[in-house]
Amino acid sequence: MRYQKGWIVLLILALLTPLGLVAIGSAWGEWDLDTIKEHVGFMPQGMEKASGGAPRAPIPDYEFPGLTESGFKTGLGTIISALIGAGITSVAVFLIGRLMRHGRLS
Amino acid sequence: MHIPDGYLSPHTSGLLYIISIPLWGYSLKKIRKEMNQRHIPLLAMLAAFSFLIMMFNIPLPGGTTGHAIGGVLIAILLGPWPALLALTLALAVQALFFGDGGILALGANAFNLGFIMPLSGYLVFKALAGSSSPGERRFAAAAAVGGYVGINLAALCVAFELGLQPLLHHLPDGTPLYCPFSFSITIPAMVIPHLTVAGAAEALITGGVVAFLGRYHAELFEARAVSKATGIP
Repeated sequence: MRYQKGWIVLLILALLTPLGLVAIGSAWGEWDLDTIKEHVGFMPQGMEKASGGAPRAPIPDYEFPGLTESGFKTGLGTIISALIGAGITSVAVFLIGRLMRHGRLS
Repeated sequence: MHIPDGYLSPHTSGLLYIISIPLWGYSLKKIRKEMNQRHIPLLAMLAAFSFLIMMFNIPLPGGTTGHAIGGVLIAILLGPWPALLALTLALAVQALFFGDGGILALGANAFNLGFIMPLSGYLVFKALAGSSSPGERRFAAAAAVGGYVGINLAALCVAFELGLQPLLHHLPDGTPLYCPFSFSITIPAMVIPHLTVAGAAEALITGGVVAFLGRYHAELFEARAVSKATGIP
């Protein structure tokens, strides 16, 4: 396999992703609607409408609902999310590369 | 820095899709015509790297969190157009599977993080690196500064897009319809943490990885040299 060492580094990174949970708080401007309501005192009408129609993500916030009882389990859910997400992302690049080679993408 | 759905009006989200779609098309064309197809596995790996690095949240001044992105690193190794594809796919997976960043806002997020960041950082890197070669200190320092500039310009774009909302879309009495924060709030909230901690993290990762690869795997930069010969960007 090409870049074997690089993929090993990525695997280690994925196993370390629970460290990213240590930072307390959330990213600015990425709050859900309830938090927005708390911050500004009301719910901007358009926000509710514009965010309502989107399908719900299957693994919201990189957490599995059944794996959140203890700190350890939370970390496990994050690792699984990291592996799934990084895996799908790289497979998508490979797929696009393959489509290109077969002349399907111009 | 991932704008969720609801913060931008449908007009803003739509406009940024309209801007991003031709950029995506151009990115695919550049990859097909000018990137050596042998480098697809490297691009796949770097896209996964970017996805993972965005999961490492660090505490920022002001009580929020942020993360490095890796967009400039990809641009330095493979060029800004392949970086746009890698970042777009990472952002799409984050939005579709993990609810991180909006689906309607994907055009905006890809523009900010996939286009503005890698391209601006890459141009800064090129200007500063001059004729230095991988492994040299100047090369890695230029990469670090490129990462720093790139993440900050992306943050500024996010602040601009969010801060524009209450100006563009409000009820007759001034009540905002979408993102309720004006420029006086969005700009300091985005810029200060990125000028300090998040920018430093991006600089460290971009410079650090480029220094390491330049020293031990200088052959990886041949992808850039090849594309330079064929004129990317």
